[in-house]
Amino acid sequence: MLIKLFLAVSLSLSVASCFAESDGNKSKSLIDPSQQKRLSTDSSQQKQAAQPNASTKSTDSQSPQNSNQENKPSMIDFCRKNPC
Amino acid sequence: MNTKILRNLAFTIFTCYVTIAVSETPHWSHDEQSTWWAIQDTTQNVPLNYPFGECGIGKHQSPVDLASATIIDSKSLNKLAALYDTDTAPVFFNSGHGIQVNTSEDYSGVLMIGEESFPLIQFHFHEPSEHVVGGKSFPAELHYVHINEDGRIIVLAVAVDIGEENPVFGTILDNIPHEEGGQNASSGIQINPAELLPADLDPANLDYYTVAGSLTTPPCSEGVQWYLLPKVITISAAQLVQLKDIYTNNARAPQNLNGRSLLSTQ
Ligand SMILES: [Zn+2]
Repeated sequence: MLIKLFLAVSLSLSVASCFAESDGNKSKSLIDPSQQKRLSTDSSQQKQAAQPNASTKSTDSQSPQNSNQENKPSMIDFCRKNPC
Repeated sequence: MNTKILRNLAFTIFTCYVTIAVSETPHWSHDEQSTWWAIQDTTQNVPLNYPFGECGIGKHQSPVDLASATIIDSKSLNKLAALYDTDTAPVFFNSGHGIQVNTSEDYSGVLMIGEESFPLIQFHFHEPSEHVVGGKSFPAELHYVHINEDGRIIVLAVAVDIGEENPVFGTILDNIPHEEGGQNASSGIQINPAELLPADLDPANLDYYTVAGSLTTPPCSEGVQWYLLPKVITISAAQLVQLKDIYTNNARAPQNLNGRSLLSTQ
């Protein structure tokens, strides 16, 4: 009887540890759901806000923007020498 | 049209500040961050004698407290893909403010935002994290810095928690010079920055939060778009001790949101 009890306890512990293991493989979330202030909408205005001026790339490349050309090496150089 | 003029003006001012910052960066430290804005460059005239003024007067400053922001779900946000390959000649750099890995000149790894490509220039660590959640910081934070041909800066941020040892982070710790300004360019070590991303995320289609912000170090320039991964990575407690032995408390305090929201793909 004692052996049966021991086996039952061992089995349940090993099952529990399996579940714990599979949880452990998942990365922890950055923001806990209880700490999120959510507003669920989906407008094109928001999409634009998140896009870093996707439509401007072609415009910039067509017009000679010397400042932007000069900007590139200085910015990259700056961010290689500083944390940015 | 007005937007374009404003953007070009902003970039010109930014370039001006960065050029000055590159040539003659006044000394600054994280200990005195509340007065970064007041640091003077006596070699310049008004207003350029305050090269870090934006740290004090900027309205879209980083980092922020993520729990203070309203999160707006938007399924129509751009797809985010971290297409980082192995860098065969990374430069391990002690910036004087943190530990940093500069990618090599011919490195081809990029962050794709929709159809736009942003080359990875460097990645570095802060201890503790800069972005906080409800006032609580993580043990550390990883920043991937990308700059495109227009000079626009995108930072991909990943919170770092204590847990399993991180072999890639271990390689970085072992190769960072301990002297300020030191560079280790000939380690012969190859690094794939993608190996530092959370293992259970698909690098080719990352979920994210995004918010407009700034550099978190002087000159605190705005116009930086932040992408924050919703999952954390881990380093071991021993690795955190090793990191703190080199740099500790190199995080900027959370800044006022001033009405900014977080957009989320989730
Ligand atoms: Zn940073």
